[in-house]
Amino acid sequence: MVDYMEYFIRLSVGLTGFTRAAIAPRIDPVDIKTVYLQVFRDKLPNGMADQIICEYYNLNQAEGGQDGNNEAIAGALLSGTYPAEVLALRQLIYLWYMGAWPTVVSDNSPTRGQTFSEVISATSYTQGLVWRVMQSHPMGSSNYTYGYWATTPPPLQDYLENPA
Amino acid sequence: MSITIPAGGFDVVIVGSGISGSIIAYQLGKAGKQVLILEGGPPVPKSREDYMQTFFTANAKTPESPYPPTMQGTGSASNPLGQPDPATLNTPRYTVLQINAWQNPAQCYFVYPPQTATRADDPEMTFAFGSSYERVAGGTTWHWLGTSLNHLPNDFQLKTKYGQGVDWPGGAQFYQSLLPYYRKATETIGVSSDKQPMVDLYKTFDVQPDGNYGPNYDFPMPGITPSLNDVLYEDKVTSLKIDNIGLFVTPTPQGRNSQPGKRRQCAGNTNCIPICPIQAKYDGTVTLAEALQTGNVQIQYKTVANNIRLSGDQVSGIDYLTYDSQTGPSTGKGTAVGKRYVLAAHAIETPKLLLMSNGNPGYPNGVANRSDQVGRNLMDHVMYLAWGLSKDPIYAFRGPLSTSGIESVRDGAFRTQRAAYRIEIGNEGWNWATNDPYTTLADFVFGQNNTQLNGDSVNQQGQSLRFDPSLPAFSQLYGSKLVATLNNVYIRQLRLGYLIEQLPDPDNRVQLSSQYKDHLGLPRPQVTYRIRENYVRNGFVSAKAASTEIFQALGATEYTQVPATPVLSGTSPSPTTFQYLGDTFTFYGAGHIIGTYRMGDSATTSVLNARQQSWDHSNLYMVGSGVFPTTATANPTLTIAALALQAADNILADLG
Ligand SMILES: Cc1cc2nc3c(=O)[nH]c(=O)nc-3n(C[C@H](O)[C@H](O)[C@H](O)COP(=O)(O)OP(=O)(O)OC[C@H]3O[C@@H](n4cnc5c(N)ncnc54)[C@H](O)[C@@H]3O)c2cc1C
Ligand code: SF4
Repeated sequence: MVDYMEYFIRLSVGLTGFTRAAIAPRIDPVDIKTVYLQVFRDKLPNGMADQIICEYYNLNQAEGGQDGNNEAIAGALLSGTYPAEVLALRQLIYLWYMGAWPTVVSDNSPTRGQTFSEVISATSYTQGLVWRVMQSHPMGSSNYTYGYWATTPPPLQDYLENPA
Repeated sequence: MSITIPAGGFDVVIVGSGISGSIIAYQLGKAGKQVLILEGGPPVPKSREDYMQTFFTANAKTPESPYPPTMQGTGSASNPLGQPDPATLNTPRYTVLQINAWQNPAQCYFVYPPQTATRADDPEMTFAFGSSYERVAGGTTWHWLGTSLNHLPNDFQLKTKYGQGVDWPGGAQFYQSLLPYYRKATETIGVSSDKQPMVDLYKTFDVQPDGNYGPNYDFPMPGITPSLNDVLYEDKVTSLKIDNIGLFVTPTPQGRNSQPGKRRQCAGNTNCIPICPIQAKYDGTVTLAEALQTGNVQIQYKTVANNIRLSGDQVSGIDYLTYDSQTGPSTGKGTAVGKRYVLAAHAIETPKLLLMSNGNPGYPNGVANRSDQVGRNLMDHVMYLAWGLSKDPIYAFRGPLSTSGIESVRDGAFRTQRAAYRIEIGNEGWNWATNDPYTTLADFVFGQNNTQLNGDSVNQQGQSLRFDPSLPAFSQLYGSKLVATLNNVYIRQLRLGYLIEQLPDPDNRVQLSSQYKDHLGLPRPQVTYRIRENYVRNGFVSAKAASTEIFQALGATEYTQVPATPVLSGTSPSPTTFQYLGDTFTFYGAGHIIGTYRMGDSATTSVLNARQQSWDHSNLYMVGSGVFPTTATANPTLTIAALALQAADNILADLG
C-alpha cells in the first residue's frame, strides 16, 4: 500500500524547493498539506492525483526509496510526456505557493496567455509559500513588530525551512 | 436600533458617516448639539475579522474586496469575475474591477456614454473613472492608504499664479485660514511625522516653519520608520532635477500609529489598502465612535437618503429609504428633520442626491443647483505608474505600502505649462503594477511572460528584460531554481506612482442615468470623464521621463510596460489608455474623487461659498473632497478633515 500523504509530501518538497519542515512540519496544527492533497484530488479528473503520486512512488522505489532526491524525481515527472499530468504538477506548485487553484489560459500571444486563480480558504492564503520566498509575511497578516521593514530580513534559508 | 427624537428636535442631520460626516457629528455632539446621521451602509462589524475573512478569501484583492456588498460571484463566459448586477443591490458602489467592464451596465454601477472619439489621441476621448469608494459605516477611509499631507499655498491660487484652472475662494489666503484646522486635523487622524523633514520641505515652497502648522506645533506621534526601499532613493535621487527643481526624498506624514496609543502600533502588515488588520491605521470608524460616545449623536444604518425637501429656499427635511438585506426589498421610508443639514456622502453620491431632489418648486435642476455646477468638474489625481528592479535587494512587500515620497516637485514655474505631481514611493513591489506576487509566480511556473521577466521583452531604453539570461524565454521552473528566481525578483521590485493634478472641466460630470437604477429604484450615476487639457497630459510626459531618469540613477532596470494601442470601438473599448505626442499612456485612479460641488467666490460659478454652505440654501452644508475647486497636489483627506472641522465651526456659529 502506498502511503499517499508521505509521497505527496515528498513530491511537494521536490516541486516547491522548500524543505520538508516547511511542507509538513513535525508539529503541524494548521495541517495545510491535508487540505492540499484533497484539493489536488478534487480538482483533477479520474484519479489523476493518486496516479501521479504512484508514479512518484515508483520512481522513488527504483532509486531505493530514500527521502532525499525529491527534486530530481519531481523533475523527471515534469519532463513526462503526458501534458495533462505535467500541467497538474505545475498547478500543484502554484497551489503551494499561492494557496489558490490556478486556471491557465495558454495562447500564442506575446505573453503566452494568462493565469487566473481561486483562493481555497483564508488559511491557505496566509500559508502561501510565496510570502516566504520573498522573505516577508502574507499581505494582511504579519507576526513582525514595528519598524522591521527598516532592517534586512533573516536569510532566505530560514524561510525555506520553518521559521516559526 | 431605534432613534429617539430629542425634545427640541435634531439640530443637525448628516448624510454619511465617513471621515467628513463623522468629524462634523463629533464636533457638534461635543458642543451639545443633537445630531442624526443617516448612513446608507451597514454598521461597523463587531469584529474587523469579519472583513478580514472576506479579504483573505477574495480572488481579486482590490481596495473594495473586504467590504459589502460582495463583488465576488460565480463566473460565466460573459462575466468571468462573477460581478453582481448593480440593479440587484441596494447600495452598489463603483469598484476597481468594474473599470474593465465600464461599458457594461450589467456589471458596472456607473453608466458611461458610448465612446464617440475615433482616435486615441483625440482629447474628446472618454474614459472610465479610475477611483472607487465604499458605502459602509466609516466610509472610504477603511481602505485608504493614510497619506496625510497639506496642500501648498500655491495650490489655492492656480489661476492667479499660473493661469490654470481656478483659485480656491480667497486664493492664497485660503491656506492661511485653513492652517489652524490643518493642525487640528493631524490630531483627529493621529498623524505620525517628524517635524524637521516637513520644515525642510515647506521651506522649498517659501513656507516658513510656523506657516506649516502654526507656532510650537509638533505632530501627535513621531514619523514612521522609512523602509530600506526609501533609503535607496534617498541616496540616489539627489543627483537629479526635474524642470530645474532638485529631487529629494521626504518621509510621508501618515495616519497610522508609530507608537501604541488609543490604537495599536503599526506592525507592518503591508495591507493598509484594502484593510489594516489591527487598526493601526486611522479610519472613519474611529471618529464615528467618538461622535456616538458624546451621547448626543444618533445614527440610523442601512438608511439611504434619496430626496432633499425644500420649503421656500430652506431645506426642510431629507427623505430616506431603509432596507434589511442588500438584495432584499426596501423595508421603510421616512423624513429626517433638523435645523441644519450636512451632506457628506462623498463626491459621487452627494451630487447624485442633489440631482435626484428635483421635485421642489423653483429648483427643477436639483437642490443647490442654481449655478448648474452640481455634478460638474469631476476630478481625480490621475496616476502614472512606473516600476523596475533594483540591482541590490531592497526587500519589497514589507512595511506600510508607502513610507516616503518625492514632494519637492509639487510646485514650480513649470505649472504654467504642465500639471504638478507628487511622487509616491511604493513598498509593495509590483503588487499594484502587475498584480504580484501572483503574476511573477504564474510566469515562471507556467512559462508565461506577463511581467516581461520571462520572455524576449525589451524596455524603452533597449535593455533586455529577461531576468535570467541563462534561461530560455518562457521557462517553466520548479524546485530550487524556482525559489532562487522568485526570491531574486520579489526582493528587488520597485514602484513609483505619480499623483498628477487634474483641472476642473465642466463637462467631466456626474448626471443621473435615465435608464439604469439600483435595487431601491434610485437612478445610477452617469459619468462622463475626459482628460482634455494638454496641461494634464504634459504631466504624463514629464512623469514618464522622470521615472526613466530615477531608475537610471538608482542603477535599476525599468520594467514599466508600454500599454497596448487603445481600442476605441467594439464591446470592450480600452477604459483608461490614451495617446499623446506619439506615446501611449495608461492612467490609474488615486482614489481621490474631487470637485463635484465646488466652493467658490460666486454663486453663479460654484455650489458652495467658502463656508461650505450652499449659495442657494443657507441651512445646507456639504463636506468632503467634492468641495475642492481643484485637485491640488496632496492626497485629499487631511484637507477634507481640516475643512470639515472648519465647517463644524461655521455650523456651530449659525446655531448660536
Ligand atoms: C484606494 C484608496 C486609497 C486612498 N488613499 C488615500 C490617502 O493615502 N490619503 C488621502 O488623503 N486620501 C486617500 N484616499 C481618499 C479617501 O479615502 C477619501 O478622500 C475619504 O475617504 C473621503 O471621505 P468622506 O467622508 O468624504 O467620504 P466617504 O468616506 O466615502 O464617506 C461617505 C459616506 O456616505 C455614505 N453614503 C453614501 N451615499 C449615501 C446615501 N445616499 N445616504 C446615506 N449615506 C450615504 C457612505 O456609506 C459612506 O459612509 C484613498 C482612497 C482610495 C479609494
Ligand atoms: S502596515 Fe499594516 S499594520 Fe501598518 S497600517 Fe498598514 S495595514 Fe496597518
